[in-house]
Amino acid sequence: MNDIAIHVDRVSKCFKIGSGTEYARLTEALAGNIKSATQALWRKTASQVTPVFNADQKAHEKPIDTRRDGNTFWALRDIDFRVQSGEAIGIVGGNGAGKSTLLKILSRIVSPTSGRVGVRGRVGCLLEVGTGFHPELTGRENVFLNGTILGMSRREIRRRFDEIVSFAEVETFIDTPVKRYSNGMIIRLGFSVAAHFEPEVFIIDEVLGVGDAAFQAKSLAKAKEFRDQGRTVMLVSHYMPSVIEFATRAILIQEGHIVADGDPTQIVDMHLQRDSNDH
Amino acid sequence: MPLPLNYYDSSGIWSWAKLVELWRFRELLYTFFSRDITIRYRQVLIGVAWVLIQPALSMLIFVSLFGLLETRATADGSQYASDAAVVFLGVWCWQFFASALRDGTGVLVNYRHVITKVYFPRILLPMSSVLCALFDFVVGGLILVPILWITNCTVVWSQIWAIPILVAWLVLLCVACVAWFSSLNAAYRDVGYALPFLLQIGMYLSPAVYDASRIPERWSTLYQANPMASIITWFRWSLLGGPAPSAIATLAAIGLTALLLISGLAWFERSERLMADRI
Repeated sequence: MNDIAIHVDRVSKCFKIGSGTEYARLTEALAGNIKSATQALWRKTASQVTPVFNADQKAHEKPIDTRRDGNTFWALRDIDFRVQSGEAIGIVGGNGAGKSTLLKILSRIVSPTSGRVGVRGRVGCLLEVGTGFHPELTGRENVFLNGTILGMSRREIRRRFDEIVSFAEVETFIDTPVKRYSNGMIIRLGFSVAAHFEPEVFIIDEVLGVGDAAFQAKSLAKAKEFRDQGRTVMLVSHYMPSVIEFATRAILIQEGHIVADGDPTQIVDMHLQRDSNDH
Repeated sequence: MPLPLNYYDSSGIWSWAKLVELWRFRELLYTFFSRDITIRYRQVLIGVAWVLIQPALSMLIFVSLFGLLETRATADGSQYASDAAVVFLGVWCWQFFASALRDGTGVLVNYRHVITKVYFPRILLPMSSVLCALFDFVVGGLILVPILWITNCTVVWSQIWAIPILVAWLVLLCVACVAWFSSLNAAYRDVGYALPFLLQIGMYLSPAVYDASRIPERWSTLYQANPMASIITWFRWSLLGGPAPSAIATLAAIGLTALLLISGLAWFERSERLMADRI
């Protein structure tokens, strides 16, 4: 199959919760190792039988705890799907369903606990605009900095530099340090850089999306433009009308599992129904 | 040619693909480097002068101290160059190493807002710190010319070919240490607090402010197995014609550098996967 753009292959992600296992200091970690080693030794010598933890049984009693397993929390469990190139996918699900974790795995910011992810080409991610902007640098320098961080080549940036600047409407201030910019100018410039990046796969998270309604509308417009160019786009949103309008296929995620996958209108209905059942 | 479907998962090993990826991101390394240099030299009014003054001032302090104590940097009867030149070479090399480590150790934590938003090979951040320190090192070296001229030292031109090799060795040693320290600091913040203390011990364990001839003969092989001790002594050999470390000590120092580099990169690769979760 040559036209698969994204292959998510049995991906799971777990996080450790509680303070018992997280160490902020090397000395504590070393002390913790010694402690757990002595505890293990103690348990071995003690004749006490430890009760076997039965996940299924517990899940039956308390459905809310299916994702917890002792100290670990399964943000995603056995996520498996393929995306054909040129598809526009909408990811829907309630708060904490694991949507953002999935996007972070797809954009390689975090790695999966198990499973693997395959992506054809570069991934552009509109999780946040202006990543890495430095206040002391000028607008021009920040365009190059931000653009290369996102994954553009310097030549690509140079070629589209004038477009980026005029789209952001900051021509007069391009050689002024960004610390003198207004918030609006910074967001416009950051968005403009991200919007002129032309990755093979484009991911956009409206949930985390910064900025106001106008900004959200702008990013959705950008996503549509990418879709119409035949690129693969993935959208995460809480706003169902935009999913129905935008996506050619939707995936519903609940509690770290894929619940449904198919036509956006049906998936959105299903999601809204489940949502109202919960309340 | 269609782009390949690149898979990645939770396994962290250095592979050919990783090197290809590093090469693909080489422009980002340059961008990080030029950003740091621009910021540093823009904010500090005397910019370049500061880089020149630092090693020169340390050299003056130690030479004056030796004068007050009525002693010299080199052992009695083994003077091969002026104290000023001998001490400057040591301090100059040591400050490269120390500033690479100081900047490189905290760099991942300082850029966590970028690390948690975008993917790129994280090793580029500490590597750019090493490049910045190298830049200061080269600029700071300019002051060697007046020092040699004022103190009437002759440069051993026949051995000057070794300088580029020694600089390369020094850079690799810095990358190795910074790979260890930066990734440890990302997980355990107390590493950053311990670093100044470790650097101070390291400075006295290396011939930074004195000459290696001060070390008793029976300890010299063990002493020169310290990569920094070997590098500084070889620098003095190459430029001023001082005594060279023994072959066995040099081999041990090179072996130690290689071990640190390989283990450091492997450790970095391993912790890179969890960096965005833990940082």
